[in-house]
Amino acid sequence: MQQFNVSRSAIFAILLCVLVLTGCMYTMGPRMPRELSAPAISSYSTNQFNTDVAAYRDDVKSGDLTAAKTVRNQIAYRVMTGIESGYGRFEMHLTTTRAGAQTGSDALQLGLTAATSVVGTSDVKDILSATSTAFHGTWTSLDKNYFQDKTTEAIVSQMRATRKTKQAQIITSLATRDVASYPLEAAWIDLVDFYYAGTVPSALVEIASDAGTKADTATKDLNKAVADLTPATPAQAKQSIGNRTAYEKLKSAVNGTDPQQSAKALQTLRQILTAAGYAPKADASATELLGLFRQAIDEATNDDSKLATLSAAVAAANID
Amino acid sequence: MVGTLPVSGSLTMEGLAATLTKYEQDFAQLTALSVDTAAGSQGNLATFINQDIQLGALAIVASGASSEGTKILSPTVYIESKQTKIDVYRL
Repeated sequence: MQQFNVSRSAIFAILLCVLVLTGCMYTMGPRMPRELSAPAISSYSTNQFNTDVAAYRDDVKSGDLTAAKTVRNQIAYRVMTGIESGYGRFEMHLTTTRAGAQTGSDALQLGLTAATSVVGTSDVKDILSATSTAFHGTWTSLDKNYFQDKTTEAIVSQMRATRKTKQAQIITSLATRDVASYPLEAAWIDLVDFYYAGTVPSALVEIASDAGTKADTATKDLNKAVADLTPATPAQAKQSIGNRTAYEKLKSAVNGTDPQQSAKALQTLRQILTAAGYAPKADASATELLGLFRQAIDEATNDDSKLATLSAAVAAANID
Repeated sequence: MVGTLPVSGSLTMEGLAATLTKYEQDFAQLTALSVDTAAGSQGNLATFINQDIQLGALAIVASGASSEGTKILSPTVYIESKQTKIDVYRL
């Protein structure tokens, strides 16, 4: 009976800690003024949106591009406001929920450890100890799989940075570009990007790719001395154009509707590739042959002797 | 062959045009040309994106000089190791 009371007290203490500490999530920021949290500005009903889009299309159709730009901007800013409002709540929720869950987890872990030390029966002690280990493992796994061991600060910081960049691009485009070069559909694509920039998966990808970019930059710096574009003469530029033109003609013929032209083009492709030192497989498909020609063009770009050989092979094929 | 790549700053306008043209034929399109601002560099940087449509040759002339084709860029770059304002035309 005494042991039961001790266990019950321990559990009560754990629950109290969890409740008190996770209650901190409500002290992470001041209460938002009603005018800001009210949806008067940010709410954008589907009907209103459809009406605006219809007005935009009418303006474009009638050639009134200035009016169309105004409507486009209005739509984009209203959608952006909605995204902004949702993001603010999401960021606060992410921070408080994760911190609260972490605190609760720590409290539970501490409680289990404490309970293990005060109970007398070895069976109960073993059960509590095993529960503590399992709980710790589960929490570690959860953190690793969902957040890839990144801190909330790192994720939020990445989301903010990417969002600011995207938002600046959108605002600049809306201010400086007309609907011909930046139609509503283009703004829409950017707005979708802007929305996803404020999500955890996107932030995790950005963090990973940033590390990759830094590695790429380091590699680029290392190779810079030898990575300059190989200078070309006008004659070599002409050879490159000739090779590429041959590729385009053969691709067109291969994919054309005339079977005779197609078969002839495949034969010419084989002839060029063989003469240029490539060995196409006997049963290579049209796609494979074109892919090999493309590879030959790519390799010739950085190798003057391969360029000359490929150019000679193309010239010998006498493509009309 | 996409991304931003260094190009020698000692080329003539004709040589630079030929070099860029050759690289464009490798399924790429020139989108930007500038001086390399890295310390001590007297070279240029060319930015290419993927382009599956074959593009015409490039021509480079001094800024303001006439040329055939369509003007696509008006950057300042190193030509024969001197900073020069140029116009890039697509023929």
